[in-house]
Order: sequence, then structure tokens, then C-alpha cells
Amino acid sequence: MVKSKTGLDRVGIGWRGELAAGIFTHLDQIDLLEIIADAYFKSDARALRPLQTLAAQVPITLHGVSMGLAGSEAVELWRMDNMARLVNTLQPESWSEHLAFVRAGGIEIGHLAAPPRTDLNICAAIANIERVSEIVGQRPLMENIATLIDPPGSRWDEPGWTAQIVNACGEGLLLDLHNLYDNALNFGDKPEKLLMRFPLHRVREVHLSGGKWIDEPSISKEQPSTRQRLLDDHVHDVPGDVFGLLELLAQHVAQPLDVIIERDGLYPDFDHLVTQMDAARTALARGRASTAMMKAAA
Amino acid sequence: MNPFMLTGFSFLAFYLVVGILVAWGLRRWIISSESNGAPAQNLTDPYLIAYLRAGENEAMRVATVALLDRGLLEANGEQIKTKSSASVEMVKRPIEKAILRKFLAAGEAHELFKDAGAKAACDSYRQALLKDGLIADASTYAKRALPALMAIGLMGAITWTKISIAFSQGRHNVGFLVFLTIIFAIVLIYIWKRRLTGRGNAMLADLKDLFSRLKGRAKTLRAGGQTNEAAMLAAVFGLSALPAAHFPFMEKLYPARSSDGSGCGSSSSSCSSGSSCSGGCGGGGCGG
Repeated sequence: MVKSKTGLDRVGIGWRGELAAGIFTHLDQIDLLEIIADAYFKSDARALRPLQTLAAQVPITLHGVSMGLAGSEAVELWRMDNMARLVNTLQPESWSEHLAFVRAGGIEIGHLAAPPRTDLNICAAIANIERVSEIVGQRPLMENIATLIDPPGSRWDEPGWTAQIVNACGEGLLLDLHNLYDNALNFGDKPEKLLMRFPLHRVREVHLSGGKWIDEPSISKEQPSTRQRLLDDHVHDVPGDVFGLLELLAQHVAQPLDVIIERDGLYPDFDHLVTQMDAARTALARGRASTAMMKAAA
Repeated sequence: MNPFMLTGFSFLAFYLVVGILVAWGLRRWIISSESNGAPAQNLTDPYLIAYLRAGENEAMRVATVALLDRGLLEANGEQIKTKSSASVEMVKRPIEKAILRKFLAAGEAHELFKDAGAKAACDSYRQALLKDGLIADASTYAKRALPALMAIGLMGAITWTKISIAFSQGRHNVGFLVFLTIIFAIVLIYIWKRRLTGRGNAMLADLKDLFSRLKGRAKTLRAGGQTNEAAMLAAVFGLSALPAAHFPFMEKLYPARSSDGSGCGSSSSSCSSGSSCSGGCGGGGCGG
């Protein structure tokens, strides 16, 4: 594993094969890469070699998308074994999964879905996270998800529910600021206020991405919806407001942050993505500087 | 059954199978014995990768195409010329400086291969690859020599034994067997002399795997040097991976190496090993 290039905060990008050339030729501007773990679950040792070559160039983290750790059902052992094998082979700096459920009653949803935020669900999520931590040998960072519906039957709000789980497990939080931004706008919150209610002392990693406004699905043809919802799609630029949230976050936490730009399609010139990474660095620096100024003033 | 008692086509078939197995075994031994160690670092220079894949001339070709793409060189038919002498100081890499210097006076692309300045610039790549154990040096060839000689000796011994038996039985139709022996000796020497070490071979395979998705969308690459994507693609897969429609100068300069890019496959099929598939969200809503 190579050493990180920066001291405190680091900024990187999600590894996508389509961006390979841009990533390889801009490694001096990329502090870390995040690799989608699930794409390699079926890979044998030979097929994992290229990732080891990649990990020799830049620090890597692994990101899982299909475990469904916040589901009420226990996660199958083979899924956790796959992650354990990958972590063991690639030795990432960290690995992460989502606070979501992706299956129930044997049916795969094919999507990250927000579970009802109940006490029972908190217990189930904690049990799943404890078990996967034992099997993988490293605690996952847990990521908040975007949702277009407020989970029915919920007793907790999202920040409270998230805090209950990550505090009980003692693990770090991967805060997706665009997901948070989406949820705030879709459910009438102020993004800044929502951010401040999350357990920010647990944040280790940050995801930044973009999205688009879509028409809210209508209940029936007779009752067409006139509202719109913000969809997190990873194929648009990170909005300026989300960089503002990053600045606010950097202002309120002392621990170092790893920031990952997520882009899954409609790939622009890589220089444009470098600009987005630079914008993240600027936001982090502004936030840190603001804290330093406040401390100095006090 | 004693295989030396086989005659005619049967013995030649036996010899062919043994020869293929011996060549395969030698190759496997070289790859496995030279594949140790951590993956090499700093594989960010496209010309280094081009040198690894196909040597000095290929590094020069890829660098020339990159400079043409960036507009620092201009092509007029088979002639290349540096657009502005100021660009020699603008570029950072020694190989680029050497090429721009060489073509301050117009010349043909192949003349570069004899240029002392370009060769000296390439030597730094050679040294870096030797240091990382990615290309073979004298000690590598020496280490390979004994197994290679044993393999050649084995094939020679089989031939000698068979010829002795044939002659003792009054048969002299051994010409094709001698021909096969010479062919296998050439193949085994070729394997022994392979430029890449097992580690270099694995590294190149890794890069091809990591870049396979980019190759799949090669046709969408734009000329104009906005990014280093074209240079990286050419470095990893060769100039033929670049779409001739977008890089028309290649056809005149390197006719044997340019293509229409149709051999690049599709992005959806480039994930066979699973190791280049990213598994992202792709625009349909992600939430994660």
C-alpha cells in the first residue's frame, strides 16, 4: 500500500474503468481511490491482480453496495465472506457499506432502500454490522442513503436513527452529502440544519455526487403530481450547495476526512473531474481555516 | 507402449505433443519464477508503458502521436515537423523534448528511431523497467538458460534416439523430424529470449485489464490532446487501438499500425474477468 500524499484531509474519486486513463495520468492529484467491491466478488486471485497493481499506485478503499446491513434479516454468510476475501487480498485503508436494505423475504430489490427507522430495525442493523465486522476483521464505515420516500412506520428521524446505529457499533460514518442534500430538499428540511443533527464526530469519509430533478410519480392518472423530487444519479456535477455542506462539515469536525467524488456515467473530460476534486479541497480548506480563525478569536 | 517404436505420422504427432508441452512448461516456469514481488509503482507515464509493451521504437511512436495530437508536431503526408521551436522548452518529458528537437527540421517518422537524443531519452525508461524487474537483464537470461537448454536438450535427445533407431532399422526418412526439431529449438530460444519478465508480463496484463473499459469506448475519444487518454490507450494497447477516423495522420505515418478502431470490442463485453467492472449507478437513480 502506498502512503497518502496529504496530511489531514484527502480527496479522491471512485474507480471506474472508463476513467482509467484520466486516473492514471492524474495520480499526483488523487489522494485515494474508492473501488466498488461487489464488482469483484466473483473474481479469482488472478482477476484481482490488476486491483493490486492499482493499489500499488494510490491508497484504496472498498465500497459495498449489496449487503443490505440495515435490513431486518441477517446478511448471508457468503456475502460477508466475499468482502472478507477482498479486504484480505487488497488491504484497503477502509471499507464501507450502506445503511439500507436491498432484499426482504428472498426478493432482491436491486436498489438501496431506506428501512422503517424503528427500534427493532436498529437492533437488526447493529447485529448485522457486528457480525460482518467479526467476519471481515475490520469495521465498515456506514453510509447514509438518499430516499424518495420517507420510510413509513418510522419512529426515528434519519440523523437520530443513524446516530443510534453508529454509536452503538462504534464505527465511522461515511456521510454522503448529496444524499443528505437530496433528503433535506425532498422532505422540506434545510440541508445545513439536517447536517448538524448527524453524529458528525463519527464522520470519516464523505461522498460527493450529483443528481437531477424528476417529476414525483403520480398516484393515479386523475391525480397527477405537480411536485418534483431530487434524484441522486451520480451522472451530474456536484452542486455548489453540496460543496457548501462540505465546508460546513470541515468547520465542525476535528478529525481528518476522506472525500470521494462519485461519477457513474456521462463522463466529462477528466480535467473537469479534477476541477471538482479541487473544489472539494477548497471547501475543506475553507472550513478548516474558518475553525482556526474561530479558535484564534476565542 | 514405447513411443520410440511408433513410426511415421504417429511418432511425429507424439513429438509435436511433447514439444508443445515442453515449450508450455518452459514458459510457465519463466512466468511463475519471475512473477514474485509487489506490483510496480509509478505506472503513470504512457511512454514507460509503451516501452514495457513493445520497446524503444514503440515508446517513440506513442510519444510522436501524442505530440501530434497535442498540436506540437504537424504532419504533412509522411513528413513531420515541429510547429514552434518554443515548444521544445514547454514540454516536460525528455522523450518529448528529444522528438520536438529532432523534427525542428522536417523528417519522416521512421527517422526518429535512429535519433541519438530520442534513444538516450528512452534509455531512462529501460533503466526504470530493469530496476523494477519488468524487463529481462543479463542475470534474467542467465537464470533462464539452464531450463531452456534442458528443454532443447530433451527435444534433441528424443530426435537423436529416434534417428538412431530408424537408421538401425534401415530407414532414413527423418527429414521432417529434423525440421520439427529445428522449429522447436527456435521456439524455445524465443521463449528464453523473451524481453518481458514474468513480472513485466503480469504488469502489462493488469494494465490491459484496468484499461479494458476505456478500450471499449475508444471510438468516442476525441483528438486534440485535451486529455492523456489517447496516449494511455495507445501505450497499453498499441496505436491500432486509436480510431483512425479521429487520428487521420496515423495512416500516413504508421500505416501498418493504424486501424479503424473496430477491433476494440465493446464496453459491455470487456468485463469478462470481472476485474474491470465498476458496478456504478449509471444515472437511473442511485441513492448510495
